[in-house]
Amino acid sequence: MKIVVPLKLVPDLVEELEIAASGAELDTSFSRLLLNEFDEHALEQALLLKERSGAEVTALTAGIEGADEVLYNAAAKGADRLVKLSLDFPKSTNSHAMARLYGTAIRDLGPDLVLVGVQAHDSLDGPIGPMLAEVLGMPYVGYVAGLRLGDGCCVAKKEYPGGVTAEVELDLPAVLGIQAAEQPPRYVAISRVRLAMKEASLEQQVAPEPNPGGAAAVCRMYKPETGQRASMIEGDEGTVAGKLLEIFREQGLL
Amino acid sequence: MSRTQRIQRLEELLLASSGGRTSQELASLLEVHRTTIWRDLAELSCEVPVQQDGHRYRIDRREYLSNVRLDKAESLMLYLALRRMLRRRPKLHPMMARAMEKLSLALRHPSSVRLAESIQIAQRQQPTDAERAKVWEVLVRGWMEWITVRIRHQAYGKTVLEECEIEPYFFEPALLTEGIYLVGRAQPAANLKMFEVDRILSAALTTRRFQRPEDIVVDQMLKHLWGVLYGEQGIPVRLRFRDPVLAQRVRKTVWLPTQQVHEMADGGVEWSATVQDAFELVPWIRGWGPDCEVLEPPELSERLAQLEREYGGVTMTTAVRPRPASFSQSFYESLHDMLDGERIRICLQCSACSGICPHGLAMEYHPRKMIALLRAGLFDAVLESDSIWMCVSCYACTEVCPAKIPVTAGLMTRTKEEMLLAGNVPPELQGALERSQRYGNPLGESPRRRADWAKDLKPEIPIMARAQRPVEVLWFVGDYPSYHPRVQHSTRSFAHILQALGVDFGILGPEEQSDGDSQRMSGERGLFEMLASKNGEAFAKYEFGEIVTTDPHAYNALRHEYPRLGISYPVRHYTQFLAERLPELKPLIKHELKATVAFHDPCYLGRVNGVFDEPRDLLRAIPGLELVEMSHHRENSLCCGGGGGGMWLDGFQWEKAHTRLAEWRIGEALRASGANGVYLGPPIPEKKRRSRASDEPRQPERQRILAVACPYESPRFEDAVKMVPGAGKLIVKDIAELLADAMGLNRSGP
Amino acid sequence: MGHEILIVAEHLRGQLRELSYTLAAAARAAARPDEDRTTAALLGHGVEGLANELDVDQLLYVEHPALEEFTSDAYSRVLAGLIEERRPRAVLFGDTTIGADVAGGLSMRLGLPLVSSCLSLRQAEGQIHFVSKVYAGKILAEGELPAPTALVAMIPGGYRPEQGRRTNPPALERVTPPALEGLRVRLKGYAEPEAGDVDISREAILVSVGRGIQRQENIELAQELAEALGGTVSGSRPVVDQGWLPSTRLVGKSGKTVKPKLYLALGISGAPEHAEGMSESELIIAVNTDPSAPIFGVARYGAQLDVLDLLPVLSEKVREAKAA
Repeated sequence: MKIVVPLKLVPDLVEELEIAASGAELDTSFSRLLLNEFDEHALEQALLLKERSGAEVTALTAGIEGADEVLYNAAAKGADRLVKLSLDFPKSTNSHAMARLYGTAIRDLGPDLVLVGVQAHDSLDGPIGPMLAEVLGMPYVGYVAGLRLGDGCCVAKKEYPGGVTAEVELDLPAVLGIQAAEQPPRYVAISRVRLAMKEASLEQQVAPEPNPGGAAAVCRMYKPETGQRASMIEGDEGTVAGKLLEIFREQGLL
Repeated sequence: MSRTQRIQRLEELLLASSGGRTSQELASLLEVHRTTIWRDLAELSCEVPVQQDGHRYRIDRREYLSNVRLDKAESLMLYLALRRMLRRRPKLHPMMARAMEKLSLALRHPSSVRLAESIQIAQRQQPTDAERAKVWEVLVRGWMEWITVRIRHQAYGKTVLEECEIEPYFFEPALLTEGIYLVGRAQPAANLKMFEVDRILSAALTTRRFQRPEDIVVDQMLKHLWGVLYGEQGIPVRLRFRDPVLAQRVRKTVWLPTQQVHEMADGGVEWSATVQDAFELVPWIRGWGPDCEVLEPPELSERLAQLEREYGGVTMTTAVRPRPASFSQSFYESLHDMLDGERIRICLQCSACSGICPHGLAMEYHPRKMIALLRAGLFDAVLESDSIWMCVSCYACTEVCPAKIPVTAGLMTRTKEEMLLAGNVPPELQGALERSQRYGNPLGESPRRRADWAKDLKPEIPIMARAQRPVEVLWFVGDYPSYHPRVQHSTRSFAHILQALGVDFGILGPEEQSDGDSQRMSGERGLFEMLASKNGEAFAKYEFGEIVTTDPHAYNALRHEYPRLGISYPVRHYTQFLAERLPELKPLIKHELKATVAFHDPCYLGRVNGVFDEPRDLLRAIPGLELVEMSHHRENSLCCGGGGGGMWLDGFQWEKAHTRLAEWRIGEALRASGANGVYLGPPIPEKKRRSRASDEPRQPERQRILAVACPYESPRFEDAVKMVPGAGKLIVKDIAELLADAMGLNRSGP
Repeated sequence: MGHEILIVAEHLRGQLRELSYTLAAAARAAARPDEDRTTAALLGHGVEGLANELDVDQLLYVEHPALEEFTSDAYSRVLAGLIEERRPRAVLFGDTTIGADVAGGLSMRLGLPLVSSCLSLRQAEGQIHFVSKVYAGKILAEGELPAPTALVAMIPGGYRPEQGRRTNPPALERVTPPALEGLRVRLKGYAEPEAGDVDISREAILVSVGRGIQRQENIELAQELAEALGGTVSGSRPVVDQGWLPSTRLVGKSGKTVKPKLYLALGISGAPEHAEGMSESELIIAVNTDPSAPIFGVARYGAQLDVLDLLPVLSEKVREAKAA
């Protein structure tokens, strides 16, 4: 059983986001990148399957700054193979382009299962999962929060609103969009990561020029207007609590 | 009697008579007809080797050695013992397998039948080797009946077989491999030798019996088994350890009595020894990972390379893998590497450590118990529980241990390291460690904003990267002092004091990373080293006279741990720095403070680093201030609960203990400062509520203040004040804040 | 030359999902009045009447037993055919566990551009403009939908569902589905949420907690406030993922959509996945230490405080007020 987990780095929202001079994209000069939280869950789910049924897990990512660390981290957690797609990546490559790039690389790996985070906060043109499935000619189910393998198929627990879940069976090979792994992503000690850095090998693959067709051009990016924002109540907790009580009274909530 | 009982009795009768019995004798003893006896014998023969010698029946004691009767509880215990063995050693020696099979079948329970089946299935993979079985038979007989045995043995690395005669004294399983060793006195040389049974290709009994060895001799041999008993047939093994930190460990530890350690010019070492079987060292060498290079013999390095290929280039220390069976042993030995670590051997089990541990009552495995289990080889249980995370690394245990065992730094921290390596860490702590790694601080704040606390101060605080000039004092600010809103007040206070004193200082600002000490004490050695090396690089860029820090954890790290990594600078805690300048400070103090103040000795300033007087000197310099001592003070100060990861384990520790150390401390502070009717002692685990106005004591004339000198403390104690009934008016302030207030410097107080 | 704006109606277990009305409203906003027409595609089995209140000009009903419940494979096949045949100006999906499963694949398959996380559409001078939320709601992105056909995945919040409702049912046209054999995705069954817990969507007052509550034990503080107010505790994804609240208390995209009289968002950042579950609440008050948190964009009142400081004080005041 071969599982491939494509990992994507996205801007860390801890930093204040700045709009670039063009007004149509983010200023990435100060942004740090971190692994997309949902991809972390996808990796965790893959590792859980490996522990349960002995699959081979390949972690794959595009060779931008921070990619090596993400891959070594994955190896320290238990990934068997590490693949890095190297190319002079323009910092903002959209989901369509990534899906095509991943698709070519993943096709050669011949996986039974591709687990990818169900969404990422920088994907204006949609999440990668369904597109990747289309490129690979595989079926796709998203919002998966639990998974078990069967014979030539897998059964995914798909989450719906209101706490309802559905059991969906897919023929393998398939692509799944992971919402949450069955366990929170595991911790890996830095000493293990360093060991992985010394011992694990990164397979480099040269990626073709990305084709970003499929996204709409953005004319303008901006932060939501302050005018639309809440009217702020000033003061310490005592003062605020007092004002809130007035509001509750007005609204007849007491 | 029933048929079953009769057959049992039959067996006993046959075992009891060495000459055997006729069927007639048996029939009359058992009061049945001879034909019945024949049927019984037929049935008995299915289980027991009944031999017929003319008309006499016997059970050959040499072939059939015991008949054990167990009651139900005993059967269960035996079953569990077999399960445990099966779990640890899935590849069984064929005879072991048969023995286990028979035992399991004897238990006569459906689950034990399944046990027997699983053994059979496992064994089906391995063909029975009649040759080997015969060798075993001979050796066992020689061992049991004290008969000298002639063997043909293929020593390691040799193609030629050697013959010798040996008096087999005993068998012993190898420490590190699955092998079994036969130990005995070899003839003609008459020295003691050891043979790996799998390399004994043939064995035959001689006609000579030997004298049973004295028990003392056997005991001595057992003690020195692994390594000592060599004649001239040793194989030299040489290993190279390049890493200086590892070299230190290798230097100090004796794994084999015959080993020698040579220093190398590059700081590494060469380790050499003579062993019987070099391959036995394979798992031990692989445990070092890439840090150990085999110089000699070539067969050993080939074998290692082959295993590397088989495992696909990832050695056993990466990824989460189950621990080897001898884990307790290797963990115990690794503790010996610490300074004074071998003192763990002289633990008296006096329980002073567990007694003084603030969370001792809430730990499933408290320190004394951990040491007991470790020495009993049962440490796995500790690692399977999560009680280690109750340890707040306060050093109280280390302080009181009569054997001077480094409990905190050694046992507790190393246990946490093992837990982390296995990925067993409470999510709260996991988050803090991941944030420390990603952002250089456990709060997850942007590193760019590390000096934002200083933004609006006038005059401007010099940030080294911008100031680009040497300074007298490099002020290492710390995580909480930089980012936590409450602690920023103390930070600004200290800045004001430095400026008032005209001290030439600078800060690293965004270049400063977490000191890493608490992360180190919570088991993340690798993270600590990473943070330390980044700080080291920043230090190296600038010129300064000394480092002063407002954080005792940073103080501890910079004073003791960073030099071990080659980052060595003079460092002092701010209380030491200011105490030295009291003559200049005193005239600047303009206001008096009519307050009763209790000083809380921070663990890492006081107990761990012996700084008790300077903070008190500073407090006494403020006129009007009455300094009182809490019942736990100086060396037995009570931890606030923030160390060793405790800062990020509140939820976890609350779930376990339902008490908070900080609340306990607040109780003591209130009592010490004269508040009456305050319960003093471990907080009673009852549902707490935030304090109400009606709980306040009558308005005192004097303020009550709890003075602190560590950045973890103001937020922890202020939270606790909200929870302790009657504590409403207790003020928590850092010494820097109190001084700055007294000097009239703080216009922007909390 | 009129265009068609096609929406993909969503239903689950026999009920039309409310977002479908939002899609209808968005379609109207994107359509040029008297020139363009809005159409809804309803795929299902025996559910023709389900979309009778949907405000679209035409309803395309695709009937097939394999479409009884949503599966990505079946829906993709049907929609691919429909889109290729009808070549609408825009196709609106819900950015949901239904729509998002198929929109991307169709985009790739048919070579049509996709805009996701879209809040609103409007038409001006023959162009259709979109506004989408990105970076967890911290940034808005605007642009024009490329011609001739664009796919859009929409989140709630830009329109009130009533705007997409009407009383007289739309004209219905039956469409024959393509062959639906050999489907690679099959629904086996649904599982109910844990029984016995409250239904937060029926509560009038919700005290909702996010990461700002910091530790499991602090949920108790929120519980106290909820009790004092006569409401219930709910939470955002991080709190539920940690197991501090059961999943029945989850508000948001994969949780419940709630519309209480009062929604107190305490220590919740307000990322779109959460906001879409509560933005319709009558009165939203948010408390967060981060003044730039997106939750302040949906709240009516806000305070920049630590919720752990506010909670006990507020609970106390409410209790006192009620006792008086």
